[in-house]
Amino acid sequence: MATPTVLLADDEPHITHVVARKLRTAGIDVLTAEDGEEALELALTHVPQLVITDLQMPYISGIELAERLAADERTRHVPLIMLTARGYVLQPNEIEATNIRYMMSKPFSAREILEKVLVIIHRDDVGSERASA
Amino acid sequence: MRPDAKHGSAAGHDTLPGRCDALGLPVWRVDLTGNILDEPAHGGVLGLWLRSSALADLMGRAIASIDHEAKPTMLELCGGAWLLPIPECRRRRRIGYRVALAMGREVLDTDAFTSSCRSVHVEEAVVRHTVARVATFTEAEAERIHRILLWMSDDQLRLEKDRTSIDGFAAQLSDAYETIHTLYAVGRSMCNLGEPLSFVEDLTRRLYENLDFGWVLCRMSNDARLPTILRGRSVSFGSHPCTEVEFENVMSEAIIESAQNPSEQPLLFAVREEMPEALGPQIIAMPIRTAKGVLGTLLAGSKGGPDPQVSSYETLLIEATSGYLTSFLENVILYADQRETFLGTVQALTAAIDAKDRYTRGHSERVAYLSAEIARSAGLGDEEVRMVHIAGLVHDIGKIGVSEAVLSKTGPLTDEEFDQIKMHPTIGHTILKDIPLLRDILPGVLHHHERWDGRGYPGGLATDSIPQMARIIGLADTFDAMSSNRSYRPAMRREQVLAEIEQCAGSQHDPALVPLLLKLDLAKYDAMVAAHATSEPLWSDGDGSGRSAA
Repeated sequence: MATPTVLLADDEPHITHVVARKLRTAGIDVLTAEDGEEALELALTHVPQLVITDLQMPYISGIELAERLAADERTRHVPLIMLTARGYVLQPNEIEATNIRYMMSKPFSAREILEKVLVIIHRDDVGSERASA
Repeated sequence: MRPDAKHGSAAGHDTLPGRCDALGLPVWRVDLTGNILDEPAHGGVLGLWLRSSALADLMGRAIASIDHEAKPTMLELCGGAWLLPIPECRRRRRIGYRVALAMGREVLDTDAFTSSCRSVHVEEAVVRHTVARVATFTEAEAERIHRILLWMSDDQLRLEKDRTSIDGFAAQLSDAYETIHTLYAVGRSMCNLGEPLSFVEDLTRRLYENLDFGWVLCRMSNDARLPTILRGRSVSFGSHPCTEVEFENVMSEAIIESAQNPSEQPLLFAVREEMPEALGPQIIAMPIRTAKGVLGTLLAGSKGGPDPQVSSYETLLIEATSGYLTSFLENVILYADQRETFLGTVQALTAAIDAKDRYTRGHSERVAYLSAEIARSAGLGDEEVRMVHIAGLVHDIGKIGVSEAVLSKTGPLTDEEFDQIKMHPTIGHTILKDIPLLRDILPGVLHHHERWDGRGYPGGLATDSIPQMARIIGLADTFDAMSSNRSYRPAMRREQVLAEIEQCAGSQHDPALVPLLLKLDLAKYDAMVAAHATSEPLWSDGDGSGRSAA
């Protein structure tokens, strides 16, 4: 199986730094974006296995990014983990219209993020293997 | 807690203008449409020419022709004059350019130069002479310099990004350190179960110091399980910008709402229009929940800083400290329960002794009281006084193992009978020795019949080798025995008792302790004697023979 790629979007570079480092150490390829717009471009071009995105970002918010990825043929299947510095609760329609799997409050543990990433990647992996079997 | 630290400065540490100046290149700053935002500050005729409207027009047109999506290339302004545009970006978007001007001698021969001289109203020969001094570049040189400037600008952008990142790390690290320090300090003081109020005060103060809130409040409930000192108590730091009544009203509402909030996370209570605006816009309210009800609520509001909304960085700390507080209060309650249960058990044991011999009814309790008073006068700490008190309560427990006939015998005792009586400290010690909570009081039980001169029992210990607790109980025991009716004699008068005790200082009793007893106010003791004399025995004997007279 090819090395999984995760796209990481946050306008706080120290956050992308910490998470990217953790994921790369675990053998995951990481693309980083510093705003929602860059994240959307990268996601549409590279179609990562997973997107980890901040909620509040310049140009395009995390929710809007999730909605636009879900609306695009190429990225409709890509799951997301949403990071937030607010006690943000997803509305049912937002969950339905997107592929957001987890919300995580800042400050978070990079280890916990990695755990969730592995769960998602592994699960989706198993899913696709079953589908192809 | 600085979620806002993300907004780094746009310009940063700008080295470009100074470096271009050192290379002999004037620099402008323009927006994407070619409007000039900053001009070169050169003095004299050169300055006048560089800031001329003719040059500005030329530059504006050249800039407007740039493809803002592409990597900028060198532009020819006119023959022998080249513009070196260096993009300026904010949040990855190009917002304008720094433009350096490199010129060669050929520029002096162009029509554009001639017309620019006219626009500054200075004789062309003078301008030519001045400009000639800086027009020293060839086209190839200008191109190379442009490339170097672009590299430099890229490097600077990277540096700027790294600096923002380092600032972010530093801010987060320092916040994390403060948080760890707070949790560490709170955790460390959790064992201080004896002083619940100071724990609550310390925790509330630390929250106030760590969080950027105008006020932090810890409001305890009226739960009967809480120690009295905490029940209904409010501990707050900071100040709230409204009247007490207004504050109280909002707090009550936030507290009620937070108690009903099913989430384990703190409630973010929105301050409504009719409420004092300065309390909000949000109030964090975190109930101190236990299985048996809410023990209180942690509240914080009037948030400072650029972002008025409460962030998860703040809620996390409140959540964590409330966890500590819950656990602490549960421990305090358990500890108090345990103490009460323990004391109840000890009292049950005491009642068992008293039931055995009506002459000693109340004796254990009075000895406990007197012993504690003597211990306090001797300067012992609260915990030691408490132990002396408990030791006093159970000091005669060993009498359970002594025959009733011997204990209540009215005539003189035979040697064998007296030997039996002398066993009671050792029997008491044996009975109690396996109860962990009573371990510290065992010396008091075992040695309360030792004498200062070494002629006591069971160890024949003398002076300082008798544990202090035992010396204290021995003294109180003697005093109470002499002061009350015994099977073998009636009570002695107070003066007689005190005189006797004084006389025994240094023989039977510790000469340092005797004066402490003599100085005690015995009013409460006398009240106990009176109460015990009139109280009913725990049970009466079936035949009641010879035991009914008080």
